[in-house]
Amino acid sequence: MDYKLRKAEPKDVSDILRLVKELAKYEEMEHQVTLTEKELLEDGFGDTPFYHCVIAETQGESSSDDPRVVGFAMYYFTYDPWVGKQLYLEEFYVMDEYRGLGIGSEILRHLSDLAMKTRCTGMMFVVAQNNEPSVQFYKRRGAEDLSQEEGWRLFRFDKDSLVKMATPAEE
Amino acid sequence: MASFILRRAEPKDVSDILRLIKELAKFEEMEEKVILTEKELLEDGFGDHPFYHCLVAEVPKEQSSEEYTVIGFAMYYFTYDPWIGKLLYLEDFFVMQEFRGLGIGSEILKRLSETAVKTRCSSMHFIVAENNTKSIEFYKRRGAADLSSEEGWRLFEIDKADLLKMTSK
Repeated sequence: MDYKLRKAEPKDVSDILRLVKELAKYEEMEHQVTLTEKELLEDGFGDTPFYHCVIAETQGESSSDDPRVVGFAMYYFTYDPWVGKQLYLEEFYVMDEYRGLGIGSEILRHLSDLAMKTRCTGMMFVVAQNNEPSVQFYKRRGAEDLSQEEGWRLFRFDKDSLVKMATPAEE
Repeated sequence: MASFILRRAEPKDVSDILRLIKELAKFEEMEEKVILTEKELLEDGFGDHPFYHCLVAEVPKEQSSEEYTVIGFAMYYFTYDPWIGKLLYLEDFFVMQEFRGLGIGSEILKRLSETAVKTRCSSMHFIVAENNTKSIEFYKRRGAADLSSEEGWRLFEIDKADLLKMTSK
């Protein structure tokens, strides 16, 4: 089956949201996706993009078939104060029926190429520790588990805590 | 009571920013790992597309025993959660030892929280070394949750050598 990779365009936001929800469903978290197409559009295709997407599209069985978006990777740039720019892979998903065709590898190769072109020193991403197939997929390509090796733990302040901190009570 | 101000970093601050990055790295016994230069900090932070933002804390000249007045900083950028949208990511956060205990850290965190809320971020993320109990307590006191504990996420990295390997396949 023929497929191609390309940069996402504004018209892709509905497919991006669909795939974000499919991946969330796979993690049994579909109801947690509150992002809307409108936000994806503003945040990804405005003056300052907050994310970038690469899309995998199949050409279809015959020339009359509409191309179908079957996979994507969402990424953005982060900054390591010791070495500079990094590419952060936020989301990476290929629809079940389209796996095993090398699409995932090709997306990762495309991102690696992009990271090199934009002078990034590394690519980072998180993986759920129980997601064995993904952990192996990445380790086969040289990924290191920094949580294990360097003992880093990811923390979060949610909105309530942020609001509390932004307007503290009188001392 | 020491007086200090917090302000957005400017191009002239890159040498202080690099100095503080190295001081924090030294504190983590990793000083030799800082290979970033002032030139890169300048291009990356103050060009057309900033890859990071900085808040700096400054004291009046009389209060500093050294030649410099910039005595603390926070480096942050925006990330994107595909379920909820924009997040503020706190990358580096350091106040020089001699200036601790004056509320500078708390004030920086407050300013960052305001920025996050203003730019409609759903939350602030950051990583902490699991053996850094003082910092963990500082953040937990303010409501931070340890996602690594609660949600089992593990941070991975593919370094340059392996990225290059993949591009040539």
